[in-house]
Amino acid sequence: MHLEDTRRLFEQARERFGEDISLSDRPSGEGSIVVSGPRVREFTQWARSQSFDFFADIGGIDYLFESPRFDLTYTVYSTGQKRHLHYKVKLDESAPAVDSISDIYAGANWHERELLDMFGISFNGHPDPRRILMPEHWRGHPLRKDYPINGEQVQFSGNFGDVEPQTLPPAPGQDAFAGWQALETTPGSYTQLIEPAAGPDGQPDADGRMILNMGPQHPSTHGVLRLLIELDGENITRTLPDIGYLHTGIEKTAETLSFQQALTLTDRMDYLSPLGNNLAYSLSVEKLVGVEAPPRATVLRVILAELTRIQSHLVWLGTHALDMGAMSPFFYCFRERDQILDMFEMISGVRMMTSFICPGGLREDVPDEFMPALEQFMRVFPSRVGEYETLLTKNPIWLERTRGVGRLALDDALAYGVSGASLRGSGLAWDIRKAEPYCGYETYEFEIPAGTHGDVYDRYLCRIEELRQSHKIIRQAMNRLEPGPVQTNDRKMIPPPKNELDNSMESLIHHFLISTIGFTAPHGEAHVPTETGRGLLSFYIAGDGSPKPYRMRARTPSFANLQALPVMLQGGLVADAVATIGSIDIVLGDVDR
Amino acid sequence: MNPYLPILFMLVIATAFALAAMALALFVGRPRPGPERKFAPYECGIEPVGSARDRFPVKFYLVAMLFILFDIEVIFLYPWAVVFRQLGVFGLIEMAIFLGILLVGYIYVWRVGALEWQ
Amino acid sequence: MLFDLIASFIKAVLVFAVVMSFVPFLIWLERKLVAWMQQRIGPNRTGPFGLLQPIADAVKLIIKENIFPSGVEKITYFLAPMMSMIPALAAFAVIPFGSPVRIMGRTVNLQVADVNIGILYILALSSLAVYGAVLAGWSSNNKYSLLGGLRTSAQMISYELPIGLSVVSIVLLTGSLSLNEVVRSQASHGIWNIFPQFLGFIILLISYNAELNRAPFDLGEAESEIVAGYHTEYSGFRFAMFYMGEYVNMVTVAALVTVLFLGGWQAPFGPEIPLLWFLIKIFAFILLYMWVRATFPRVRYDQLMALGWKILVPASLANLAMTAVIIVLGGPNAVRILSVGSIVLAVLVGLVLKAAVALRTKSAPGLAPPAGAGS
Repeated sequence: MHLEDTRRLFEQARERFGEDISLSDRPSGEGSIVVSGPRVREFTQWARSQSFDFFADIGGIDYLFESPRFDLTYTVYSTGQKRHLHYKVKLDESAPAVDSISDIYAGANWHERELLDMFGISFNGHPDPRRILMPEHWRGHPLRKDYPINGEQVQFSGNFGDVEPQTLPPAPGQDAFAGWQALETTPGSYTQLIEPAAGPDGQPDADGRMILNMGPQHPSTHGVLRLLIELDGENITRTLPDIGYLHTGIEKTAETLSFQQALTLTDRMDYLSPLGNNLAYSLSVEKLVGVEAPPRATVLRVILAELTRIQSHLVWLGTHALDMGAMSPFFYCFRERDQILDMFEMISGVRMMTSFICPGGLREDVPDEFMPALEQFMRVFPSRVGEYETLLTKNPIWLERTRGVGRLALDDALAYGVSGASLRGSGLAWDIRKAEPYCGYETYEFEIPAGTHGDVYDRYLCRIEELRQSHKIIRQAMNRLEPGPVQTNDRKMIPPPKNELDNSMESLIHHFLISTIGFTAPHGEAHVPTETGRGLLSFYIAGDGSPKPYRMRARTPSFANLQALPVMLQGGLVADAVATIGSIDIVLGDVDR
Repeated sequence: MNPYLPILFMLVIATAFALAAMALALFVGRPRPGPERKFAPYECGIEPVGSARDRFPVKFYLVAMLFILFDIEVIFLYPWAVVFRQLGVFGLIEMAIFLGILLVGYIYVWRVGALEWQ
Repeated sequence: MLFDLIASFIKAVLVFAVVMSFVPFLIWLERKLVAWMQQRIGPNRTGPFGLLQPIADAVKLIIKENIFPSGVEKITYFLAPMMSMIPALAAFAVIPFGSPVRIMGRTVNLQVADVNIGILYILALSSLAVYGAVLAGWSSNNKYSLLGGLRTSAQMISYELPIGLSVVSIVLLTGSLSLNEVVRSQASHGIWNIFPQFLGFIILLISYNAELNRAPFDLGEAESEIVAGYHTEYSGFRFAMFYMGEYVNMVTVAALVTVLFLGGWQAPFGPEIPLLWFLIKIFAFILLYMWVRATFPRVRYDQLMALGWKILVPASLANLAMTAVIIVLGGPNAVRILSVGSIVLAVLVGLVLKAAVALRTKSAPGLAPPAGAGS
């Protein structure tokens, strides 16, 4: 969304909110509306009435030396008008608190919990104010800038009884954790989280209900996800996802690395879509610094992003079918995925964590063997998709297992911020590549499939169709690939070519600086939404004039998609839970970061 | 010789094998000391909440009862089937009545939803 | 007398040895075959073509530590694996695997025990197998085990009905409960029971797949849902016992189906080598189950129960009724009429099911045309 649009919206809102709102020029190129703390609920309601129906994210930034200290950026999308809106709330250092909006956008629930966890911001009226990623007993809020790094000891145990509560000494001179005591929850067993449900007569009815742990070490939770499931026989009465087992603090770590180094962390976030993450990150950094990738790099980026989407979908298809007991498609999918990984290895030397797409373009041009390998893959792939479909699409068992299972209504999906094929399965063909194109996606001819029922089967059909559409995009991109540079020639970001170093002292110094310290980004914030295999991925990056990101907020699709899981599982069977988890295609590295 | 004697042989051999294998495993398998938790029941790496021998839905009993009812009727069919050719039309009609009653019960069970799982 | 005693003892030992040596071979075969279907190599490190892999597995399992998890009911926990294997082995006692041979001037049946209620005996013993699962599930003090045990028991008893009803039709054709008689009657009819009892064969095929707990009906041990079902808490050789029981059961069922439907040891063509043909038929049947396992997704629990109670039970009743009526009315030509009728009935049932599936598919048209932001 352009600054102009934001200004127009701001003028509209002005009539209602008067002096309580102001305009900000951050993030760069888009701008945002700064709302005063007490009116944020009202503003959220207003935004929702302005057709901003899709809730994406609340990102927090701790501007330690500014006042007010905390900066929350709410991001909502309008799927109809194909634009998005940022609005900000600034919070004071002492006991930061703001009203919860989780009853307006259901998806805000987890995001607010994350902010509580990471920044110690409390949300008034939040239904479930607990930590989400860090353990219950954790002291302090890691994403605060004054959080002591290396101050904690990591304890590897899933059983809370084993874990000694940590005590961190307060920073000398000041109470770095002012306000957190009030938020601290007592370390305790998760049993309290699910109280026995009330029976029809209002009395607790614990009889015949069984609380079952699915995960973290379970074959079909696709990683270390833990679901607490309350069962009545085999019927699920309630579900409580417990995440954070794979939390690696990527957002915090990025703040200690240069922009080039932080790129490698994005590979490890959604480890099935590394190049997609690279792309999202690079676009945001490029926007912050103000450079653009050259045309050849952009076309190659599209090819690589689509290949990544295909290989990510192949893992999804294989594991989804495996969860449902169909063994063989898994191996067929991995056969093709390996072909793609071979290509990645060819271009970057690494099969998964390529970091090949980087700010400024690509790390280097693709080797000559790449195009023939790609061509060969392109030739076999359509028939291979047909092969997978033969085994599943019309198989009566598959139909029975997936149709009408794990249903998610479109309204729920939007409110929870469910994106990607999980949203499209619910009937809305909303894809960032079409809605807010980047990398020239608007010039490619492809279609966005959408389902009608929002069940597992429709999500399945959508993803299968996306395999074909990605194939189509790659074919078009291959045809328009022309020789040229693959890195921007903007010296802000890219070191001077080697031959200049012999004649120019300035070039030598510049080369040295970019190679050792890294390129710097100006003060400001930037945000570019992209569509990965799993849905809406965007990095909200803040720069402070240093070569390191001041804050790297990743709005990951899996985090939001997983949040809607309890809605989909309601009333299903244990077997349906497995089918549904498979169908929303989560990657725990993407959820926990 | 009693024709059932060989079955006894078979049972004895099978049982002996099973016991011998178990005994061998007991002798060969080395116990390795471990923490208490090593012997905890597996629940995805989390210490279980609640008992595993809780009450479970009556639905399973219903299936068992239906099975017993119908299985006994199936067993009735066996002696009838053996002498069926001697009985001829009489046997056919008799069994048609029997199966008819069974069918009524079956339809009733279906109609009241005892065969629905959810 | 003494000769008979010794002969039957030797036969029992031989049958036991052969069936038990089938188990590792079948495990190897399944792994190789499924690997081949999935573009993998399968076991290939231990011995030629990985043939020794199951032996290596067995050795590994037997030297594993014996773990009694905390809170288990020790006696039932200990007995459950045996309960799943012993009946399977004992059931094989009444299977005739060849025509009688003459040894030292005496006729010896190639069958451990020629009892005149062989069919009932096998049905009874295969019902016992359910105890293994139920006791394991209950005694393990584990929720997954309990769910698996419940699932397996409900599934196995439910599928016993269609099995029982289909076998009654065979008894109608044969007029005897002796398995030897079943084979002989197929010879005298000049046509294997698979033709006059085609629908019964299909029903038995599906039901035994469920009874054996094999994919796509392996709900009691569905690893993606309830980890390993009723044997989650089992390790070492106790687990191996379950595993072997499963394969022994498979051999027994394959042999039973061969006897009931595929003419037992009779040769369809070529040389009359009874034992060889018997083995070929058993393996054909087992390979079919392996193929099914590599192909289909797993059905859901309620769907499995619905299939058993709502489709297979009525279908087997219809089959029984048709068989009875045609035998009475058809006279000497009954078997031939049945062969046509049974296939017609099977096609009819198939069409009804297909129509039902198509009707449900129609209400779900699949992908809508791209709308909204996609257009």
